[in-house]
Amino acid sequence: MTVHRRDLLRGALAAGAMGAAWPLMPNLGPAAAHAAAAALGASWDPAPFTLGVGSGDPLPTSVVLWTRLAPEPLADVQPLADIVQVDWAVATDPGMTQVVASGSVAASVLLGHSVHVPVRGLGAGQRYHYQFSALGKKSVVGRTRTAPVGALNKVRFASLNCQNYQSGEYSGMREIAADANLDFVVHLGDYTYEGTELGTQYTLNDYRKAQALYKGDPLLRAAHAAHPWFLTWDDHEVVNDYSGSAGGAPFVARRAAAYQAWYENMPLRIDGADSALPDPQIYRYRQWGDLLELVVLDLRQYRSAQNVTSGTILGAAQKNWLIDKIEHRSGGWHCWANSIMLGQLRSGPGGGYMFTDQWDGFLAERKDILTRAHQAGLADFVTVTGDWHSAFVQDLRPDFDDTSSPVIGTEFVAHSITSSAYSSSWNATNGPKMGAGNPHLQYFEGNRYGYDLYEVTPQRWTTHMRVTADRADPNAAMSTVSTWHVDRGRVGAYEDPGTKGLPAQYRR
Amino acid sequence: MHTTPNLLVNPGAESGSSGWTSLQGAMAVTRYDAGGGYPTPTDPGPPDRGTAFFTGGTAAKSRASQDATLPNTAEIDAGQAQYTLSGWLGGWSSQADDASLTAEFLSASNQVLATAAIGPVTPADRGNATGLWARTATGAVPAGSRTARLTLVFTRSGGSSNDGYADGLSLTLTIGGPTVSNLIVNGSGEAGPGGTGTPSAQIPGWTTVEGAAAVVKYGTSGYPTTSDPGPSDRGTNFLTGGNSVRTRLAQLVTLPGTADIDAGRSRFTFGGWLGGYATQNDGVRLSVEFLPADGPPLGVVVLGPVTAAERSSRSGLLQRTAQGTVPPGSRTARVLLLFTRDGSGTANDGYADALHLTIGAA
Repeated sequence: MTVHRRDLLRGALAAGAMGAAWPLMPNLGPAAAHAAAAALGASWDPAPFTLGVGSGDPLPTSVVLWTRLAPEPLADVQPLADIVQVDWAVATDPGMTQVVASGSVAASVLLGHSVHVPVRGLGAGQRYHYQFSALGKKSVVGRTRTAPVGALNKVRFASLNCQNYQSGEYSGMREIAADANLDFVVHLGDYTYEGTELGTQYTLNDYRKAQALYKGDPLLRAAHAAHPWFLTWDDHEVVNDYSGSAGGAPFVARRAAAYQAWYENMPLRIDGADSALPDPQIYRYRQWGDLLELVVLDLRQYRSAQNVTSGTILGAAQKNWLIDKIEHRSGGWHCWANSIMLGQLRSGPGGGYMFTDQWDGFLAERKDILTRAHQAGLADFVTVTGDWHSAFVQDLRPDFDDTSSPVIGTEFVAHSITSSAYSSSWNATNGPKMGAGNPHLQYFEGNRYGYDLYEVTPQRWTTHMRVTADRADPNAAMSTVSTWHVDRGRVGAYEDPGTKGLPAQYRR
Repeated sequence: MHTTPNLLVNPGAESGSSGWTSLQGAMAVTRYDAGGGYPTPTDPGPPDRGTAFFTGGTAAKSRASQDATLPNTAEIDAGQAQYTLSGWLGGWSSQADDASLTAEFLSASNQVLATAAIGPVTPADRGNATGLWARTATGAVPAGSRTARLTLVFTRSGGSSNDGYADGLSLTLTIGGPTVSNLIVNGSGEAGPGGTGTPSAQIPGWTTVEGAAAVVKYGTSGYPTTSDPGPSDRGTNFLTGGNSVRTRLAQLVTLPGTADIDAGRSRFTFGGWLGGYATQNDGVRLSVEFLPADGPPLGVVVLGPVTAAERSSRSGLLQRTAQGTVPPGSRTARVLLLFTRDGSGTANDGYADALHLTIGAA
């Protein structure tokens, strides 16, 4: 019989035995934590490369390689020297015989024995393979690619978000890992959760162990090893609905612990003028040939409180940077990696904003940015968004309450990979209400779990919503619940005729 | 260079009198909330005082001791170990009852090779106030030392209770060659005159990244005084966050001894005194990144911010330090202070003083 981690957790909660089942509960030694995690289906690669390998932030001649040594993934202290030498190599073949770059780096206990290697001197638009070795052991071989330059006919990428470990299995990541023709993966945040009634993270060790537990999912490790990732974060990497600029000392300490643990466990390139750990600058601009410009936003670190005069979700520096990217286009599709919903969302006709933790809590700044985008003639504008645990397709306009305000782009809000959405009855009731209250909303589907797959050509943007047949089964089949297109040079998305008959809780 | 953990067992009476052997009289353990005229949680004493402290009980003289096995005997025998003996000692009001702590460094055959002592603290030292005061003694550990015998002595001058008090006792060894100089420039805000809280666009040695910091004199109205918790050698000034919601100061330090660093033989000690105001949760976070000539950071250390709860809601500064191996490949260290203001109010009351980064051979 297959034991699903959701069923196990539910059973443990009912039996009051969570201390034995939840590996992040306090006072559980590493061996007991390891056993409890194993009972949930967690497993790790052989030590010391237990957490796997990854690559990220590809540029035309460079990609960042990542690994972290953690022989005891759930221990407070790793059985390692302060400094461990880690060797790395990049090859053009998966057998690692045609090595084109190699080197050594010190993995320090000061960064949880993680390494981030910005490999340079690579060729543009090339597939590469890489491997680490340390302490006489070799890691698995990872696969990555560099960004292409010049004319490009197609880019295929996937987005992931909201992967609450205790809520289900990562069948969507199985498909992503197996997709050899994917160029890269974008993660839109809520990579880890700070905890629920099952235990809460506060310290660096707490957050490190949470990161290690999530990496105990072999499908997540496989997705990292298969493709380079671009990353942003949302709130749950630290704590629900936080504003990064809040200044209370206990929160400042907690945020620093969470940010450091996140950096240690992600293939992030340190970049930007204002990057100083434990607070990396993660907003960045990247190009994929002449076909796509990717604007990765950080909507947490610099934000003010919601619903306040002069409130900001971007912070002054990022806002100026974003305006510059909007007003100085380099061509191609202009895509924001946007952790939390940009479009307005009222609960129904004349209703209030449903969640002001999203851009709805920063009305003046949103209107300013989208008005500037319109004035600058921003074309071919698409936003890929996470956070909501349900799928939305909607028009973007500078003033959402004015139906004569011009449509300037499309927002695709993706399903979560596992984190729980509203009930099907809530969705059935509220889908039509949200549609009636938000004329810009084209589509809503909240009963499924999965990821979005994007196929982008010079002529057309296509979003496939890939969903799992069973959130509790890592081997469940994946299928497309809806496909949408945007034609180049024309604003507004339209659904593919092939999916119009499939279930959804609202279609305009 | 590195410093050992505290070698004493039960150094602050938080585990009763366990770890201590009574030699004379009967040492007692009293709670700060006991009442009856004993020191209270808010009387002068250790900022992290816990719940209890040692007293002399009711005997005219009480003595208790414990033996600590010394680590790093090779370095001790090479003359490369320094001791720091410290603790909080005190008494009651104008009465002359007192406490002292001695450390005898013993050879393998229990020969006394050297003695160190702190205390007693007299009523005059205490200004006739009830409470405990910090005392420290440092020196070289004699070659051949293998054990330190710590003895607490409480002496009654009159009355029935022996009101010598002791808490927060510590013996540490610092191992390594001669102390190297602090690599942080103006880590104590003493490089220029101190003010009363007006922010300065420029602080000598520091680059202002965000907001504007202030250099404030101890004793300025509404700020810590020279007798609030803080560094014993605090000088005249400390740093604050000025009037900005967030203030950041940065300093890039060039690391010495790159051959030792690249061989993994270089140890760092990093820290400072961090604090804030009364019950407010304004604070300052101190961090350092170890950076290679080119590439991402090789290590990071984050200290603080010290919360109001950690300060027991008292204005002042507490010490935060870290030691470790400098990651091979490191060439510079970027020191960053992030002062944050919590909620409303004008002043950003994160306080920092006596910041230090030293590098030595392991």
